[in-house]
Amino acid sequence: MELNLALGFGLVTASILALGAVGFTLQFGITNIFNLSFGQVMTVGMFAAYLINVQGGQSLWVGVLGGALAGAVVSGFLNKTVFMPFLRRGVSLDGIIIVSLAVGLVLENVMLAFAGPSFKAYNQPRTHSIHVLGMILTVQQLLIIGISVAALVGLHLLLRQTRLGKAMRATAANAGLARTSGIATDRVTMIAWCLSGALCGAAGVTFALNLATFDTTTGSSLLLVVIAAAVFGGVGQPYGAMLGALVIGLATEFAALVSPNLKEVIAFAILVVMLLVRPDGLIPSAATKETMGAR
Amino acid sequence: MRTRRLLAGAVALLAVVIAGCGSSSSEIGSGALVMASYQPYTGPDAAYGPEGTALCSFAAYEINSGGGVMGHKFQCEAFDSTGDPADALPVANRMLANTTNLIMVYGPTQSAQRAVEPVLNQEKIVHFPDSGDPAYDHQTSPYFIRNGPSDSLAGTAIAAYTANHAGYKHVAIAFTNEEAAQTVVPALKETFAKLGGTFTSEQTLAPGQTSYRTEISHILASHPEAIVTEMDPQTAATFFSEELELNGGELLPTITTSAALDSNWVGGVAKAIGPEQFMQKIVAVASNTPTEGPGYEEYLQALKKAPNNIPERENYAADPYAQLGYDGLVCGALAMLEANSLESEKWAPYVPKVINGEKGAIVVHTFPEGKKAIEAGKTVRWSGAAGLVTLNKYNNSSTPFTGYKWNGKGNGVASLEPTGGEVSSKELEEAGGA
Repeated sequence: MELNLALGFGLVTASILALGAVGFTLQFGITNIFNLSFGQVMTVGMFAAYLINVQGGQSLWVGVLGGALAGAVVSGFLNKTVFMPFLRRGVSLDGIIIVSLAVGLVLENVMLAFAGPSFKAYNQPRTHSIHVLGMILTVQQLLIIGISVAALVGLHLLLRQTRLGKAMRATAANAGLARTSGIATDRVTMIAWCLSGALCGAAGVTFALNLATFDTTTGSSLLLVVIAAAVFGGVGQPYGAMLGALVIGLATEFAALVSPNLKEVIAFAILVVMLLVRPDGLIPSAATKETMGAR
Repeated sequence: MRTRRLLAGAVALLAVVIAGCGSSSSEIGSGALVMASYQPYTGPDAAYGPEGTALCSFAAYEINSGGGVMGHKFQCEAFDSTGDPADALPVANRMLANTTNLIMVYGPTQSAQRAVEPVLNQEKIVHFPDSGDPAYDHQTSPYFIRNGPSDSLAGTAIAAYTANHAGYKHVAIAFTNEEAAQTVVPALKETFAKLGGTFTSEQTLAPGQTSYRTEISHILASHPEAIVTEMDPQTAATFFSEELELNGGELLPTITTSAALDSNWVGGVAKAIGPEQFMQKIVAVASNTPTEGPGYEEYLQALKKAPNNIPERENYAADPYAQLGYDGLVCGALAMLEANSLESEKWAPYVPKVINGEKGAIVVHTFPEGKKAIEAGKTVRWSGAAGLVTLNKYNNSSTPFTGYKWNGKGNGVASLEPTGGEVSSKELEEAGGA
């Protein structure tokens, strides 16, 4: 019984993590930038949804879309005004990590200045619980799982069925070759940033929804686990990130059955073991190349 | 020639810097006296900063409206301790080195305390930590004044309240793994067991998780009569909202510590679970902080009239941390008057005297009242925003505890009223507390 319950709770956690981890890894796969401001962009999404839902009186589900849009706009803006100029000046990717850290701190403190330190909560009706196969899930949690599945299926279709997806995969595999083949890699990169930002914003809103309240530091508190899921799956591999999120989401809930203190211990221990056994993550690079269609 | 001038300039600059570093912060010149709010203004504990600024502004208003001390007015300055010990120490050093007329400090919080406490004592800066760390239960510095309770005493009190006053003998405990929460647990467990209680489930929660549903399921499956807990606002909001989901829309009776009286905790959790369950099911066991009486009324006046731009100042009307902080700073000013000195070595020993009152002391509720009495050659005992407080020989509070619930009067759920269950000093002593 307890295992079934933990499985249900783990699926909700995994759904939130999957949105974030896929967003993180999608942008990394194409730009090679290890973006540590990702957590704060999640918080931007939370606040955008708050403005729409609480200040604007709109449905929370409109807020989720607004959060995704805000994440896309902020990510695109950061790419255009911060990361691209630094890359053009020849700053190393290691240096860009520090820049992204600084950008995150700036974002967090700007939000703190405007929103203040108090906690915010969405206007959401309290929904009843549904018992399925020994799991207890609320309607809201089922919707979170639904949003995650829809977003990831949509991303899969985009990557596999559209010219843009092909261009993104080509840029991820070899940007130079993609450029000489006539692909507008700058444009593709910008779209990747926006897509990543949209997933990041949606992850932020679903995370805040699940937590019940949030403040300006909430997004950054999830960053480490999002990165763990992305690295577990193989950084730059969207499908790996989905699997990574599932494994880490479930592992943390099962660990809580033994002791809540073990939640993060188990998650990161699994990550360390995985990296010892498969340094490239769950999906090895050869398979990735095939998955991403680098041909 | 140019090199010599440069060298001479550098030496002069070095001398100034060294002199600055070496000067004691207790040397006071003309101009306003500075009370520092040394609190986290950024990071996860950023809500403490505005509270520190607010209570300091109320205290400055109270002191200045009574004419200040020895011709000096008081003003507040904010210093961001960040909540991270590694960053807190350099900020404290800068505060001590660069603040002219620094007279006393509100802080540090628990996260910064172990790093900063030695520096404050070495510099002889009177400070009022808003931390319950039991490591300081038997400290001996005269510059350390903790007029709020230690966590070890809080643990004893919450156990005594749960077993003796609320009547629960089988409870689950859920504390976050942070130092500030964990320091309550040993005394709670020891006392509760001594009083015949048992724990059906013990959960140590990692803050900032996406969910606590598995932990809550575990607790609910153990069928406790109540949950005894201390959590940060974010964890509490998530935990209680998930408990509502999993327990058919009802919280179990919940007994928590004074951490829950923080306005940010109240705001966050009430938003997450709604006011009804909050008011019906949650009780906070905290040192007695009445919300009536002349001292409290004076505090409310200062809260309303303090001129600084303080957002949401009404949130601090029933906030024991703000009330105790305000009381501490005003007592500091009265101690300067009693000692007739601004040198901290001289006035620091008078702070416990003002708080406890010496034989024959007149009880005062406002700074002007206290100043007048001292000028008339009398000694005073302060009964301010948090009422009468008693310090022990280690400058730690040994005030009795009361269970508080929220009654929904005034600002949302923020008005507190006693449940009627007071854990007296005698009861604390018998249960093994200080």
